[in-house]
Amino acid sequence: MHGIQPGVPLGYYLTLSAVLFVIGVAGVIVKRNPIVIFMCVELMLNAVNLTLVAFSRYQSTLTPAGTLTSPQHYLDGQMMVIFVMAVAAAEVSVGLGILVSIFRQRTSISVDEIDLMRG
Amino acid sequence: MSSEFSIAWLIPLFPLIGFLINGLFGSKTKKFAGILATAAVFASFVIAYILFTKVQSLDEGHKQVTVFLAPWLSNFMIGAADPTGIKPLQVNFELLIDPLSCLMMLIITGVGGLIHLYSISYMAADKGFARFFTYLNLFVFFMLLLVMGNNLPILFIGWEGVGLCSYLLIGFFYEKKSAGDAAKKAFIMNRIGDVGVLIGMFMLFQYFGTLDFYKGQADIDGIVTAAKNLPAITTGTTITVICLMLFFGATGKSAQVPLYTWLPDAMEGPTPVSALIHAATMVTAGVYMVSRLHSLFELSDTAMMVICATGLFTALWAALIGLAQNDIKRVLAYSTVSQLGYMFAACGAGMFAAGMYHVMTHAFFKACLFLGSGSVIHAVEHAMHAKHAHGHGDEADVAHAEHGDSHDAHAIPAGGPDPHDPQDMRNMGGLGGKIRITFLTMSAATLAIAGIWPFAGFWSKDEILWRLYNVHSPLNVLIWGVGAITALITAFYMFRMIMKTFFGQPRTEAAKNAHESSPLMTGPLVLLALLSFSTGWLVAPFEKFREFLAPSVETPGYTPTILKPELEHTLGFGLMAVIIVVIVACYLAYRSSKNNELLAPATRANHSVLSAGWIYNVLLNKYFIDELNNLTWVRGGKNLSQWLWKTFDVGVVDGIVNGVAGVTAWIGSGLRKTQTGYVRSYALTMALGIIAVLLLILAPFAHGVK
Repeated sequence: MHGIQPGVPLGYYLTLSAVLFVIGVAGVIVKRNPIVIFMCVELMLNAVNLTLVAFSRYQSTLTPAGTLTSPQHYLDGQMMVIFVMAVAAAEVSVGLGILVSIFRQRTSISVDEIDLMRG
Repeated sequence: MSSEFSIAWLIPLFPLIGFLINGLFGSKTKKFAGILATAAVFASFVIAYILFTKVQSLDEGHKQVTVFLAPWLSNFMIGAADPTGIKPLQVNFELLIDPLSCLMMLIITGVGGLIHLYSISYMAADKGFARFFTYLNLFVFFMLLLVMGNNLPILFIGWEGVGLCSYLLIGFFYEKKSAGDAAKKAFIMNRIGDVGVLIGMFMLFQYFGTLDFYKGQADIDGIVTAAKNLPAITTGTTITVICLMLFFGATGKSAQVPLYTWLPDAMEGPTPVSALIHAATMVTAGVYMVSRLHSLFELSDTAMMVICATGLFTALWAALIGLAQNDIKRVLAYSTVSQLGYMFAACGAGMFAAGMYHVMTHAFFKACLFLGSGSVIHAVEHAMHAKHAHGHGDEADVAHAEHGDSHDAHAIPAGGPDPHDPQDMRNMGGLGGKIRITFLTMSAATLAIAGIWPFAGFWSKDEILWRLYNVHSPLNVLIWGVGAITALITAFYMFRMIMKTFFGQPRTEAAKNAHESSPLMTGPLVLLALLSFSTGWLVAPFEKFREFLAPSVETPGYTPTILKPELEHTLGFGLMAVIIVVIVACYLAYRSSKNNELLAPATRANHSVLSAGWIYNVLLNKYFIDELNNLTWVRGGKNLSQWLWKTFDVGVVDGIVNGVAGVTAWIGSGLRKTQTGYVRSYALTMALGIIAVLLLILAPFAHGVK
């Protein structure tokens, strides 16, 4: 990579994101409690946010002459993170609403018990 | 030049108009239907005669005139080089006016018109009067199309059309099961022959590139012209196969062996139908087709031999059956088959003009015979019903239905006649004094068919036998001999018919009270009898006829026979002398005892010579051919149908369709098991799916770790 780099290599950020993402996926699949599942979904989204920000910071120095330019030109990743956060917030509010309405009908809060679509 | 022949399209038009008016408004025209139909046919005759005189005045070498009416089929690659190998096809609605078609037109409209006239009186009591004339006019229309077309598809339209009309007319008395069966039999056997015509047509197109007879609008040399120009060396099995296929079609239409058994059963139809269709016109369509394509047939010696042999064989075969029949119409039916055999024998021997001459004379005397037999049946029937019926007016139409020996399934026992059958000759006798005109005209026609000088049949039959004698073959005497023996048998059974019907003492009450028919019936009879008498010497002697017809049926350079003129008259008159001896012997046998002792059943049973031996039984039952056909073809066809239905249609086809549905259901029930309703398994499946898709997308970008 060209130009001034921060000290920590990009790969470390990406690895961290990947690990966080996989933990999130595992949590969604394994956990029975819907609140925990939501938290894991948030974890996945934030892992992706981290990836986007990392790329936005590290991919900001490319010009034909190879000189450093102002990082403001390459803020796409950071802008997308703002969007993702907004979407995550909306999604959680809708999801928690669904959760509350389902669990008003039942006593249990286990996801395994919702099998009315069983063929 | 073709502009003055352009009125030709009126000839088929008039019967077509008659058909439409009678067909659509038959219930309103009622009695007028007959006059309308007859007028239509006579109008066509007038125009045909005009064209005939015009054709005679054309110069030699240009005797074929085509009249273009409308384009029909063409594929659009005409003139372009065609890489796919499909030849350009152009078939037009085109009429051909030349000596042969003029001859046929005159016969069809002339004899047809007389038969229409006769039918006005004959069918007067029938409630299907208008329907009858509708069908008759339709028949004349199709038959005219057949003979006037310049190409094979038009001929085929007419061919199929007359087959259809034959079905409609044979099955005219549709309440009778036997009539319906006979109609089906006729139509189906005709159609079997049509396969031959179709295959012949396909192969002809493949070989010549055109289906026209002579060059017309399409500007390609027609088949007849092209075949004349082909040197004999270039032809091979293709032409022979084409000719044999076309001839197979002709055997179906013209009732030769093996497709002849429909013709005797076709006597279930009204007698004018038998006269028109099965004597004068439809059955001659096969002979016409062979004569029209004469140059094609001349290219193949094998085919000519087959035609000649089949014709002679049929002539003898049918003549023998005719000997034993008791129904007056059946005798005439077998006689027709036999005479058609003569025509084909002549064509096969290379003398198409002789064959066509016999067509013409046969039309005259056979129509006269059939119409006369109708008159006889009418007379006897009315006498029978005058005895029984007291005021049953509506019985007339059913009563009018022709009774026939309706037996496909059972053999005819050699017993006594059904006393109510007006067609059985054993119920007749002594009618000569009572129905004089019919007697005299039928006798004239019988003398003609037996070949007695100077009646028409002498000239035509003699010509044919003479040509047969002169065929280029070591077997020529045998060929001639078969023809001669058939002539003797013909004379015998025809005179047997006359004797049984008109001579001796009346054998039943009905025969005693018979009376002559109306002038509308006797008029045509007289005219046809006069023609049977005078054709050959007063009207159209053979040399002039041949000269007239030569541009249509003769190929320059083809001489199949050597003429030894000194033998010609010897053979002819010698044969006639033998025939006269046979006739006289016949007459004496029937008159030798008073009250016809010889014919009384009791005497016959005791008399060893006259009793019904096995030969008589075989002949009476038509060699059991119908039963044989039934066993092999009909049963075979039914079994095939059954197998195709049960095993193939229900088993295989339905099995496949049901099988597809079954497989779908099975897959469905398998897939059903993935719907667990278990959210976490859905989530896992989703995750695995995403991983798989990502791997697939990113796989091309993998370059190894740097």
